[in-house]
Amino acid sequence: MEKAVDVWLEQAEARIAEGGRITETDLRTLADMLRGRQQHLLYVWADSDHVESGVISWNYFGPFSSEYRFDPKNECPYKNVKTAMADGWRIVSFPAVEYPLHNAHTQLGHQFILERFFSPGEGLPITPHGARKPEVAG
Amino acid sequence: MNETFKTLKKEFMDTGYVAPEDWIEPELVARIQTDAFEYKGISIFERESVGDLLSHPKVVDFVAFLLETPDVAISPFRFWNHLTPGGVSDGGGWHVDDTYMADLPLTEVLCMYYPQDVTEDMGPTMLLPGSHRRLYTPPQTSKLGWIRGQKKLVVKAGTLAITFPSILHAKAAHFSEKPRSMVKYGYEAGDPACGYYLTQAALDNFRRTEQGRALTRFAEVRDKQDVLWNSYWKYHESYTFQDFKHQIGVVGRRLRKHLDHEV
Repeated sequence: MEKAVDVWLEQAEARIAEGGRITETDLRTLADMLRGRQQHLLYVWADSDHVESGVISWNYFGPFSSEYRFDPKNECPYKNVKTAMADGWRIVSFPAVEYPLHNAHTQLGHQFILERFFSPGEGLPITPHGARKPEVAG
Repeated sequence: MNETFKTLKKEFMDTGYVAPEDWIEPELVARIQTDAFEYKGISIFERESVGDLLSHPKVVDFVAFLLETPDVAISPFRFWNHLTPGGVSDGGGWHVDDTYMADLPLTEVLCMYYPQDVTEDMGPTMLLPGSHRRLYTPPQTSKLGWIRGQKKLVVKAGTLAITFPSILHAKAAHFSEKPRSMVKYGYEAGDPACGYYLTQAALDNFRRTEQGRALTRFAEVRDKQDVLWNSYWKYHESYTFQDFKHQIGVVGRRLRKHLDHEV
């Protein structure tokens, strides 16, 4: 789950534990947070089509600005797809079966595409090329 | 054939490239550097210094050894001086210049010459060693970011990288105040069916020497516009060409035959 929603849930649980209640205003706040969520995509090319296999390559896309000058220097923050799933990422595209042509592999690795929803301004701290930065309006 | 060439050829076949840094004489390195900061794009190939580079006996001998034929020609479809001025500018994504065909002999090599030192922040070429034996498409490669085993060519002035055209490569972003040139060109096994266009000045430049005359024997003279657009892959309208527009070696050879029919 995204950080802001996690915080809301923790606060709500604490309030209920103390005998408090959730108000309509609180629910509207939660609804606004959920409506504002944005999809982020994590591409992982793995050694095999198993979620525990190692990362050959990765990239990160979303509605954010980053220090995007093509200069891939950051390794993937997850050691494999499984650890990304444990952090809240959902697989939306599984690797296709490879049919080698002309005795050659037709891809670099096995491509997983994962999605996760974040509130505006949130997301992984880095891309392969540098720090992720909140998008600047205009 | 000498042992150095054999060792280098093994490295070339295993990793997809070699990058000798001391083959070009200092005097020629200095001349190319002067021209490389002044003449952009294809005009660099009208300069004597670059004519001498392409006709360099040791380089041509080695290419002949790689291609296993004494009949070597220049391959003009990627001629360009990639000059980046000082200051921040973006790089380019991962791509290949040719389709790897395991069942066909290697007919072409890609060359990248660095007229000046290239430091980490000067937009070095990036390569993925061993990536040359796969079939990639542009939609695949354009999304790649960090890749395990990737390598930046941080090199000394005068270094010449000779690669499989099918190796994955990219240009990293430029952050330094120093300008950076990279002269890109190629050689291929000579084939009279695969002609190409050069400007008169470029042809005259190459034909100053016996080696240069041999390398350009299939060239035809055209004006600069024609050389740029009709001897170049970018604006060809065939579906195959658009779909694999970066693959300009083995595929490009067949397309060049197609181009001849269009003239």
